[in-house]
Amino acid sequence: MSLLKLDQVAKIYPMPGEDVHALRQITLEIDAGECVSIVGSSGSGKTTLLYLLGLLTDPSRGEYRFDGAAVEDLGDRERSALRGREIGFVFQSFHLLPQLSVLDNVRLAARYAGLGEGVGALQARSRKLLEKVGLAHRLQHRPRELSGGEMQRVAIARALLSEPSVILADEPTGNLDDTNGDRVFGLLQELSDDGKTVVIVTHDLALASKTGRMISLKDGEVVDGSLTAA
Amino acid sequence: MGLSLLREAGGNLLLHKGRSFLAALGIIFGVASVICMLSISEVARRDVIGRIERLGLRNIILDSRKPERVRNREKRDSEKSWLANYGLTLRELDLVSDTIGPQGSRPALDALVPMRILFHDVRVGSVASDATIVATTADYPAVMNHSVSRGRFLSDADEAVSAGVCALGATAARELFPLGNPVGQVVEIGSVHFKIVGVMEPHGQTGSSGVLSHPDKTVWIPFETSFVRFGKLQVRRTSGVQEATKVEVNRAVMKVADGVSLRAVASVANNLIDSRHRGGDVVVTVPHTLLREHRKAERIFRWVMASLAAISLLVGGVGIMNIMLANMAERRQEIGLRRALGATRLDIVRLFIAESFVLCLVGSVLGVASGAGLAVLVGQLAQWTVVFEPISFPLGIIVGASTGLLFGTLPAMRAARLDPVLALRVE
Repeated sequence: MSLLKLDQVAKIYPMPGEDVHALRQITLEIDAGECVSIVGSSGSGKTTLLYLLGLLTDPSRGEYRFDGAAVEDLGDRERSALRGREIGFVFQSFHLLPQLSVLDNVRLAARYAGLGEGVGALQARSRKLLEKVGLAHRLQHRPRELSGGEMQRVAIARALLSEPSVILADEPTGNLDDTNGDRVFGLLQELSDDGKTVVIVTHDLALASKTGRMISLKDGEVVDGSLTAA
Repeated sequence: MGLSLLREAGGNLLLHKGRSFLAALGIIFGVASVICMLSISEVARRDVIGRIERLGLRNIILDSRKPERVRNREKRDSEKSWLANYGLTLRELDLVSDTIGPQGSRPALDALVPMRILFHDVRVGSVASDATIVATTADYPAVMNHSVSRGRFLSDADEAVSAGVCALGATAARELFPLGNPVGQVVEIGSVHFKIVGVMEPHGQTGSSGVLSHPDKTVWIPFETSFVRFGKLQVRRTSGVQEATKVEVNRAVMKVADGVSLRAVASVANNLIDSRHRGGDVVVTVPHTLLREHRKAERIFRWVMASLAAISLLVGGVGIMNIMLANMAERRQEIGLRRALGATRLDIVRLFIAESFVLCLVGSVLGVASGAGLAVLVGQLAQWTVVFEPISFPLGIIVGASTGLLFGTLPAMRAARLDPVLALRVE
């Protein structure tokens, strides 16, 4: 069964004068463990689709089912709980809180995920995740003291803390040089290999071609959803 | 509101120390002004009530006042010598006492104390005092609730023999005898020598004005002695003009016995005085009524104070709200991130309300401290004893912190309603 399933989904932003149709009639299924990329030019609706998959916004029309559950039936509390537990976000501009240390930025994910773990266990797991992304030596540093690649790796560690089944990455390599971009993409691929569902929004077709499936969007519509050679 | 949430809110505020301090300033000033005003009004309240209470709450006071006709004549004939005759007489006091009469088997009045003011200098050798000379009877300390510090007060025996003795108020004693013990010494009043038999305890001001309202700066002599030594007529000479005044009794204080209606006795006294002194040269005062009226005025005053406090806090609260709205706009991406990490709208509301609560709580504590400091400073400058109503401190903190909860709600609701998709967008 599909983990993420969109059926005739549209997203319309009401604007004075004329409404903006960010997504039109999207029908899409993503299975558990798949690694999918979403490509398209600026304004094609990639990020809107990703945030919709991540339960950050509702479809204006159509139906979205997350692991079989109709999202529109969920209230803010259930939806937030699902987002905190089952979905990990990685953003292009990292979104790390400047006042917190690297370790605390990772631990912040537990604040709303309702993990029910003790402080010690949480701390230990956060350290382990930071070790996994190669930042064991940066635990007490502030985000401003890190490079772009390091910040994105902190964001990946944060996304993994609640052990989500889905990782949604919005242009994860967009602000990184090639070396760091490759390293971050490698980490995301490793997660996919570990059985997590990974959805990556990117401009980079070369990078997208390394995912299992590439979904092309144009003017809010899926124009191609074919499997790649990878 | 959990401790960890408050700690997180405090940490967020510390990120922008300057802005947080400026935001809290409104609350600091608001709470400080409330604490300071409460203290000052409490000092004033205690002072006024103390003065009224020292007049005696079971007392009825009859005061001789210079009538309008005499004052007009003073102005008109300022270069001529004249005689003014007004006020209470001893016969009238007897009449008042007889008319009130006994209540059943016991007297309605515990005592009736006459007082007569004498205009003479007081000196000991070359040391002079501008103390007021008051002729009165032995019941004065009991009626006015004024106790003796050293020696004794005037006695009935002094009255019977018109003795040349006197008692000094605490300030008068200090002025005339800065170092030694005045009891047994001799003081010169006008040209007559009086032996000091006692010194009274400090008492504070009684009533609102007039020479009789400063008992600490008074020299008391026996009532009868005043007539024997100084006569019924008092003459003051200024620039060749003689002003002769004939006032037998400047003030009479009746102490009404316990269980006897103060209002009934005051009514009898009023009727009698009204029928005999149509010129308004005798005024009846009932301290108990004054106190009641003062308490009524005090209630109004408290409402005014509460309104001022509310306005101060409203201004402070609006300041907090503006800063929190600016905070919200600046932390848009953080709100989006928290939502992405699983925060509900309620979590965001809680975080922002916690921040304005912590801001106002800290502001209130600082406000209470600075308000108390300001009140002490004002007290030192004005030379009065600072008094704080103990409830004002926790009340100031509770009201200030509640202002944070109240005015933090709108920014918190706005933050929670922010669309996470728009919030996460990088401009």
